[in-house]
Amino acid sequence: MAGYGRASDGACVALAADEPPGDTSGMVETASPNDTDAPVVLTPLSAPRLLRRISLDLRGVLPELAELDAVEADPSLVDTYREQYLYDARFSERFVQLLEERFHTTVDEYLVFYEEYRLDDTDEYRWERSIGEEPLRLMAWIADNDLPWTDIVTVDYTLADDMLASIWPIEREDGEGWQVARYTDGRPGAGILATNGLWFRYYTTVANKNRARAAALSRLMLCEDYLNRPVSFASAPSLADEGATEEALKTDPYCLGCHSSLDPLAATLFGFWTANEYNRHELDSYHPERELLGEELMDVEMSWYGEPLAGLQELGAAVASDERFAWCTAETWAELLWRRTVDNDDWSTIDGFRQDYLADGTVRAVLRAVTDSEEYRAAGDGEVGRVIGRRQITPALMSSSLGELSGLAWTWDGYDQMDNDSWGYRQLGGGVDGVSVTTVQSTPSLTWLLVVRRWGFAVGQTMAPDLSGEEVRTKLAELAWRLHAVRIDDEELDRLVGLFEAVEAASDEATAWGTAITVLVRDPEFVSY
Amino acid sequence: MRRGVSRRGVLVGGLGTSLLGQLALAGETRRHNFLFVFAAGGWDPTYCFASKAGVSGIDTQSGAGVSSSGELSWVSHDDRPSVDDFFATWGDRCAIVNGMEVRSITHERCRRLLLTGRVDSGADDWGATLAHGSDTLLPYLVASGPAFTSQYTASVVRLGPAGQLVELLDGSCFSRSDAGLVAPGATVQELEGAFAAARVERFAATAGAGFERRWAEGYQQAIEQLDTVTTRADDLDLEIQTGGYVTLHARIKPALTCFEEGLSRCAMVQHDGLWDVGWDTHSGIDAQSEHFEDLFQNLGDLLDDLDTRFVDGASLLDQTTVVVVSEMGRTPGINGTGGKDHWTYTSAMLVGAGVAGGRVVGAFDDDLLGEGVDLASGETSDKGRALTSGVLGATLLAMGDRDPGDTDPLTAIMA
Repeated sequence: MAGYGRASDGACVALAADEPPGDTSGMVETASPNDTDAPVVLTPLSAPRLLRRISLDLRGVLPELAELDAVEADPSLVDTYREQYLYDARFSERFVQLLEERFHTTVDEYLVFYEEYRLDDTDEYRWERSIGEEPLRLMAWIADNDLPWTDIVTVDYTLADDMLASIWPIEREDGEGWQVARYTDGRPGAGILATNGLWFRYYTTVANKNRARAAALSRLMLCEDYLNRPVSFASAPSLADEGATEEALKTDPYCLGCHSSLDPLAATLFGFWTANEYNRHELDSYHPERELLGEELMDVEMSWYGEPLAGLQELGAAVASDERFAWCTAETWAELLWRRTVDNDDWSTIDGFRQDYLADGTVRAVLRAVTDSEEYRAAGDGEVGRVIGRRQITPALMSSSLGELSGLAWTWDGYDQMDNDSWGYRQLGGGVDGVSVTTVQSTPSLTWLLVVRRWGFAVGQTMAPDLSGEEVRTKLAELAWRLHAVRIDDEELDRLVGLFEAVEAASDEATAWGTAITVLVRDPEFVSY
Repeated sequence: MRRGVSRRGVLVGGLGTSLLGQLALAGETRRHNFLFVFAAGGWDPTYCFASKAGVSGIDTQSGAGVSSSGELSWVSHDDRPSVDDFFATWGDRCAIVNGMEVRSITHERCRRLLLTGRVDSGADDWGATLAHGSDTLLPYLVASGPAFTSQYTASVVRLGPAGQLVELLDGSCFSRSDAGLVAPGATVQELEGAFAAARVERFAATAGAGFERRWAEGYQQAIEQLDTVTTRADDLDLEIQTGGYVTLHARIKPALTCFEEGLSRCAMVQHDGLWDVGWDTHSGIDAQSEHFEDLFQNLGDLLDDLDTRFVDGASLLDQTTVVVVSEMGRTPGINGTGGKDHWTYTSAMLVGAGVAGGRVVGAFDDDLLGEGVDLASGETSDKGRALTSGVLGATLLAMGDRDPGDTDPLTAIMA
C-alpha cells in the first residue's frame, strides 16, 4: 500500500500505489491482515464517542456534558482531555480494573480461607479483593506517580489497605485506603514479585517447586508463555518417579527446552516456597532462610536466562532490564485497550508503542501511544471485522461509569455484586473471574443482557428521585447525550418521551424517570463504547 | 429462601414469540444432547479405569482388584461399591478411553486443551460448538465448571454458583442489595422491554459491517432469548440447590429438565471431589478413592434420572451422551508428600446415546504412557494413533453431527 484517500462516505481508505491520493486530512492507514493489496477502511469514531471511549478506558467514568460539548465543537480538544484524563483522580482505580483482566489475581478463592484469619463473613469479599489487588495497586501507584514502569519489579515497598496490614507482616503508612507499606519479614524489594497477593493467586506445591510461579512471571512480565508449549510425556524418558523426573528435567533435551530456563527462575522464588500450601502461616510470610533451598532441591543455580542471580532482588532487576519487558508492556496495553489479541500483523505498530515507552519510561507513555493509534480511534474496519470497533461494557465499567453519576453501589452483605462470582454477577455479566474466564466477553449473551437490564433498573430507581420536576424532553435529551455521547434525534426522542408518558400514566413520575434511564442504559450506544 | 422462576416474579419482555421461541415451543425433533461431567483437579486413572497393580514403578491402591463385565473392565475396591454398582448397571452403555494425552501439565491449560483441543484462547469448546446452531433456547447450560468460547459466547448460559441466573430472571437479585432496590412492576417492565427491543432492532438495521454487525446481531439474539425465557417462565425450573454440600446430581438437575424440554443441547457440571476438596491430590493420594466413590454414586443417580425421563417415547439417556472427564492424570509414583503429581495421560468415559458401550479402548503401558490405537477398531497397536483430547473432541463432534475438522474421530466407540 502506498497512500490513503477519502472515500465518498468520508471514511479513510488505503490506496494502491498507482492511485492518486485525494483529501488526506485525518486519514488512517492500516495493513490488511490477510491481503496486503486490499484496502482496509477504518471508520473513525466521532469526537464525542472517541472522548467517551478514552474517558471510560482511562478513568472509568463518562465525560462531563461540557467536555462533550467542547469536543463536538472542536474535535482537536480530544487530545487535551485525554491528557487530563491520564491524570484524573480516578485513573488509578480504572488502571486496577484493566490490570485485573490481565493478571487474574482478583479471584474469589485462594488456597486458604478468610475464616482462618478469624474474620467475619461480611469481611470475606474485602479480604479476597485486598489480597488480589495488592500487586495491581502497587502497579497503579507506580503508574499514577509517573515512576519508571520498571519499578513494578524493583521497588522495596508495596501498597496495603487496613485489611492487609491487619493480616500480614506489614507496616503501612497512615491514611485511608491503599497506602505505601513495607513487609517486615525480611523479604527483599522486587516490586510485585515480592507481594503476597501475586503468589497467593499463583501458588505452587511442594513438588512443583515454584515452576508454575516462574511460568506466570514469564507470561505476565515477558509475554512469553511456557504453558503454550505442548508437553507430551510420550517424548520424554521414563518419568516413573520423582527422582527420574527431576533427572530428566536436567538432562533430557525435550525437558530442557523449557526447564533449562524455567527452573533457574523458579529457584529464585524459594523465599515464598511453602512446606504446606494450605497453611496460612506458611503463605503469609516470606522465608529468608529458604532462599537457597531451591538451588538445593532442584540442583540448579538461580539465573535469568543464563545470567547468574543472587536472589529475588536481582531477579526483579533482571526482568526490568530485559528487552522483552518493554515489548510486553507495549503488547499488554495494546491488547487491553484494543480489546483483542495482537499478532504478527501488529508488530510494527507495537514496536512504535514500545519505542514511545522506552523514550519516556512511564506506562502513561504507552497509554498515550495506544490511545493515539488509528485502530484505537476507529469505529470499525468494514467487512474485515478485525478491529473491535465496539467494546462491550464490562461489569466493572457498569459500576464505575454510573456509580458516580447515580450514587449507586450494588453491595450486599459486604460484597460488591458487580465484582464477585460467588454471589454476584461479574462472570454472568461478561467479566473475568481469573480462573475459568480469563478474557472479557466481547459480544452479548443472555446473562450479560440480564445483568445489564437489572443494573439499568437499579441505576434508574437510584437516579429517579433527583429528576423530579425536570422538564422531560430537555432532560431526556441531555441524559442521552451524557450517557451515549450521541445527540439523540427527534424521532428517537419522541419515542423516549412517549415511553416516559406511558409509564407515568401507568405508575408515577419517579418510575417514569427510572424507566427512561433504564432504557438509556440498555441502549446499544451505552453498553458499547 | 431459594425459588424457581415464577410467572409472578418474572419480568415480561416485549418481542412476542420469537423464532427461538417458536422452535423451542414447537417441540422440534429431539436432539442428541451432551452432558459434560468434569472432575476438577486431575484424577488418577489407576484407581478406577486402568489397573496397574503389580507393575513396577506404578504405585496403586492396596486392596484393589479388577472387575469386569463382558469386554469392560475396571478397578474395583471394597471402599468403592458405587463404582461396581455403576458398571454392573450401566457398563453396557459405557466406553472407557484409556491412555488419552492432554498435552500440558498445568490445570488451566489442560482444561482448555481437554475441552477445546487447543492451548490458545481462540477456540470454542466442544460443548459450545455442539450447542451452537442447535436452535435451542439455552444452548449450553453451565451449572458449574469451565466453558471456553471464542465465537460462540452467546451459546453459553451460566446458572451461577448461587443460582444467580434465576435471581436475575425473577428479579430476586434486587433483594440482595444493601440499597433497598426493588423490581419494577410487570407493566413497567413490559413497556421497558418492548422499547429496548425495538431500539436494538433499529440499531441493528443501521449497524456497520464486520464486528459491529456481529455485535448488533448478538444483542438481538440475546433479547430474543430473554423474551422467550420470559414467555416460558412457568415451564422453566432453573433453580439449583445452594448452601452446604450440593451433590453433583442436584447441581445438574436443571440441565436435565432443559434437555427434557428441548431447551438445551449441552450442559456442564463440575465435580470437585467428596466434600468439594478437589481431585488435585499432591498429597494424600488415597483421597482419589473417596472422590471416585462419590463421583460414581452421583453418576449412578444421574443415569437413573436420565433413564426415567422420557421424551417422545425414548428415555433421555438414549438421547444424551454423558462425557466424564478430568483435565489430567497423575504420575505413576507417589511423591514425597504421599500424593501424586500431574501427568499428561488420563482417561475419559462416555456413557449413553451414540456410544458403543461395554468396552475399554486404548491403554496405558507400563510407564503409564498411552498406547497407540487403531481408531476404527479400538485395538492398541504399535502403528496406532495417539489418543489426544483432540481425538476425543472430534469424536464428540462427529457424534453430534458437527464437522470434526482435520482430526479423525475415535469411531471405535461410536455406536
